[in-house]
Amino acid sequence: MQHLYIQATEATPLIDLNPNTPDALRIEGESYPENTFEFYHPILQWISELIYHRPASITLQLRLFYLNTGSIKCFMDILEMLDEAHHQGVPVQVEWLYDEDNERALELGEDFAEDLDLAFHLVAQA
Amino acid sequence: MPSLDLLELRHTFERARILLAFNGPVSQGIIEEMGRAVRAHLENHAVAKHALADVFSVYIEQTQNIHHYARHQAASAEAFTQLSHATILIGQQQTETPAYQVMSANLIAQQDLPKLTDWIDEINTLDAKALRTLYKQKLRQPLVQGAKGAGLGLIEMRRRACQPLSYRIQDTETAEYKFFSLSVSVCAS
Repeated sequence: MQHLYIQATEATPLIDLNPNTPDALRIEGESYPENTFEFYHPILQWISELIYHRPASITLQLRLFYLNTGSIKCFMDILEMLDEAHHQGVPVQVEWLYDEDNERALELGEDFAEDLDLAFHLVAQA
Repeated sequence: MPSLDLLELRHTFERARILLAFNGPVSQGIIEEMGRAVRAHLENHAVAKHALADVFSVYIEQTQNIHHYARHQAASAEAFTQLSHATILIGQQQTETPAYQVMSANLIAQQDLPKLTDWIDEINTLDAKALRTLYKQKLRQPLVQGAKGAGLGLIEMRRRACQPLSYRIQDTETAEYKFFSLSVSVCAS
């Protein structure tokens, strides 16, 4: 598997998915690209492939400031994939990092967490 | 022919308490650039963080809806020019409780209007709890092949708004298109 690394832009987050460190997967930034589904397609594929390779455990760190609805949908799909892996016995952790004064980011994290069984940690940052 | 009086136009904007205005073809670049201006402006006015996030979110959903509609609907370059032409305004409401209005307008094909207005009318009948349920349901639905989006944009706008979504349809010179305006109020407190 390839290391999927995409630098952040004004409207897309940093993507840092290294298959050698499945416990340190990271997505961070803003997300409102022109074509959300095209942007997230390779990311969904990468995650799917990672799960197929059955890593000992997976930790995904998300630090997202703003997401448009298309991006929210894509993250729901990513998280559901990870939830499925969790159900199949892969230990999965999701860390949702949010700035403590960003209420909306916290609410979004709570919305996601509510629909998932995997370990979802809401982590406030000063 | 009398030339356009820009000072008068500016006064018109100021009287209507318009903070930012755009009229022309939208692109992702324009959306990002103007979004940056929206954020900077609200930050300078010490608007509550959540209100800033809500105004930004409504602005992004509105403008990306117009841009997606133009991209998916236009059958020719000429049609794309017409459909991507947007009027975008962000204003401050003159009400007792401070609120922001995010307004946008574009051309929509006559045959696409009933579906859109039915959807807005339906969303407007829902309370916060029902909106959340519908939102979550849409979020978990698999995407339909060829769908333009997840169908979440207008639900999101209503969830951020403190009043029902307001729209208006006006005739244009052509029978094919109507001029569709959407206005969303976001309360600052």
